[in-house]
Amino acid sequence: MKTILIIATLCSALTFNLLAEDIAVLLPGDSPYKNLREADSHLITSQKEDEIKSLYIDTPAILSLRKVINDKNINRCGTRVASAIESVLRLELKTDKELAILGLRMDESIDDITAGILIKSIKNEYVPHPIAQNDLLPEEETKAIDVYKTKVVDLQNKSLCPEDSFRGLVKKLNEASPKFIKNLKHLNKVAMTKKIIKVDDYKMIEQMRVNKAHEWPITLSEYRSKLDAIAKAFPKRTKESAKLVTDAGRFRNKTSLRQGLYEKFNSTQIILLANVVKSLRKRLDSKDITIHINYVDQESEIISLSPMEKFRFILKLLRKELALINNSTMLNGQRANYIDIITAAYEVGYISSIEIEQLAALEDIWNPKKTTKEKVMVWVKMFGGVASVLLPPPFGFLSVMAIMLIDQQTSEAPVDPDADFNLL
Amino acid sequence: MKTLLFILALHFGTAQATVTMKRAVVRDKNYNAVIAEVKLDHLTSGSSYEGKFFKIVHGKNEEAVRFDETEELQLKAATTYYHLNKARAFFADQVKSKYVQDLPQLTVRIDLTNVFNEVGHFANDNLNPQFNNALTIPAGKGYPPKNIPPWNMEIWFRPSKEININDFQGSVDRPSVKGPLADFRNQTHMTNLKQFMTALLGGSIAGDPENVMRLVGSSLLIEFVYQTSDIAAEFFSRKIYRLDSALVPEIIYHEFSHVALSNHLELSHSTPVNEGLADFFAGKIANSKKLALKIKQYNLFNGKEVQKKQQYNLAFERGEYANADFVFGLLWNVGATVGEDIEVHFMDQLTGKLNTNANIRDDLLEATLQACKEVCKSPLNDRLKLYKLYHSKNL
Repeated sequence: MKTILIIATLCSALTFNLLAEDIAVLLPGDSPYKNLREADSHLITSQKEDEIKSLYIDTPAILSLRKVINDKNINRCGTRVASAIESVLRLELKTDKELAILGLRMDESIDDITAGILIKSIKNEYVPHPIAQNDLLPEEETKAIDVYKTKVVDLQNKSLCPEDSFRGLVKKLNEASPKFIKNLKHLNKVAMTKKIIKVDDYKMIEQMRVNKAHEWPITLSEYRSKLDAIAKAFPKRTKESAKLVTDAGRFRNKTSLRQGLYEKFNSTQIILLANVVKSLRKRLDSKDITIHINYVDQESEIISLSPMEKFRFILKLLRKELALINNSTMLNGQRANYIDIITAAYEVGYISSIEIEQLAALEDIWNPKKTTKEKVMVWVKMFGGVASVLLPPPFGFLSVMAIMLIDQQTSEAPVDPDADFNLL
Repeated sequence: MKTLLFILALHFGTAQATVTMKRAVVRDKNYNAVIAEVKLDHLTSGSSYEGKFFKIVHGKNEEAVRFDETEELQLKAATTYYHLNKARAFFADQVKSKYVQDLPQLTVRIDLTNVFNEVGHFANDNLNPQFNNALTIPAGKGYPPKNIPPWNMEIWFRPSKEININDFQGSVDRPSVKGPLADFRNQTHMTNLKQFMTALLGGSIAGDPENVMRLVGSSLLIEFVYQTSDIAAEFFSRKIYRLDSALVPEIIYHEFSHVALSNHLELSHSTPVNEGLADFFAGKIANSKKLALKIKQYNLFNGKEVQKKQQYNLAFERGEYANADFVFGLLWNVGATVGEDIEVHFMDQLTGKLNTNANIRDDLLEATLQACKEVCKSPLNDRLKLYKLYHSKNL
């Protein structure tokens, strides 16, 4: 009997394998949001890790999730992807939906930015409440409804993502008057009762309002556009992972540097910022840097910079270029800092994950940070100064010795870039 | 016949395997200098310090020091022979220097006091006899009219001689105690003044004259200590200096390093860069950040040490600072920056980019950056680390 069972299993496995050749199996790398740049997810805590692994790694569920994220009909809209995950896996609890999204993240089919957007896109429970804030004057209400009228087409346009249509509406309302956002619930209802928008559209924008879609720093469609543009411009990028730009734990708003980059800048701006580092790298590889003094009536004088003068000159040039970019209109009012250009260069592949830490640490040269020890010592020294007055003689020398010891401990040999032998 | 051949082969093998053990100065685990029995490898003579790679001779002799010479001379011969072979093995096996692998036998002279002469090999005996140092001399063509044969590179170790500190005429830094005491003195005066002013303004000065006396007394005491500190330091400091260079392992490594690097750095004169490179390799062979320290039996001069906080000074480029330890420390840190697994190969590449007159600020730094482009595991990354290191050294 056992032999028959084994033969039957073998035959079925063989048949399955033969048939399976025709079925394209989706891989994490097929996803348009595949993780190309991030290290371990900062969204997956150690408590969640085991649960996600057991539910989604090497399970049929992950194949279903891959299908959802690869579905071209919906995968530009966070809300639609979130809904599809919900229905495909028949999930009801918000925590379960979150785990499914994190399962995709652990599978590397998506990165943290996508996962973050999808988690935000999970429908919050909508509790209809009859009372809505309304401190609008009649003429203001009319003005707001006029805005709704201009956005009706967008709201009904199914090719647009609900969150984008809603954000478009809110943006327009906000431009008309900041007061409108506070009265959004009321205005939505008025627009529906006055039949400016349909009941379905009303439900949709109410859901978006509850989900606070107008406050999201970025939507999935916006992120996708930026990703696609960068992928098109830099098609040869390979998988890298740098904790520095993807770790969000140390930032107060729990946003990683990479996420901040995509939230603040569009793809063109990201490439522009990355080019600053490209130039830096090129200059570092240059043979030499010379200064020419072109005299009026005699041959030019050429001054060669020493290796360190060259290095400091390159850094100064970088800071100048960054200042010029910030002062221009190229960033549409956004301000880029040094770590933004490093993140951008890493994102487009100009620098590798191994190089990023050292490049980021260059900022210390012109903006050195005080260590915790140094900060503590400043206070200890201050109290030592007070103690030196309060301690009766002959014990005053104790505080003097303590202060001297602290000075010795904290004083590194001073770096003097303006030493006479250095031009820069 | 086969049996005979076998017996002969066995006999020959046994004869070759004879181990020659001699007493030499070595470092123990704690970097203390001790005299211990060491095995002398590659000896080609059964009765003298002549080996495949080195021949240790006494003074201007051409015959190797024999095993029946005085204990004192043998200690020097064995120490130099043992450590020179160790240094050679380092360059031949670890650095994989073809130049060192192909070097012919070197003559090493101990207790030689003659000045080196580029034409005559040895200057006259009565011309400024030399003590307390070691040097590596370049090969010479000789001078047939005076029956001076050509010579290969040689390493010379001078005998030691006690010299009074006053004879150095400023070439040895006398430690000043005043400098470090100045802060303490100033702080104490300031603290006492603050306390005095507090008592004065608080009106307690009349009621507690003893306290005022204590303040004044402590200020006077510290001022007295400060003013007399250098006199006291001089009184207690060392007055006599001597160096038995043939008995200090790191000096032997240093001199052989000059030989090993002489394909790029000529032996014509000392510069901070070529001395620093020789120090670096000496440190690596000795596996120590300290050179010629903790060996007071044979060295009362200052040794060298990798200084953590030492900053660059333009004066370090000058010849009189050739034996300062700035370049040694810098290169040691460079090695640590590029990675211990490649540092030796890195330094070898670096040496190939230098010449005898290379300076620190331009040539040495540029050579390290170029070598890093070729050798470093992550060229950009490691070069950035090097830039940061140099910046922190005020270069």
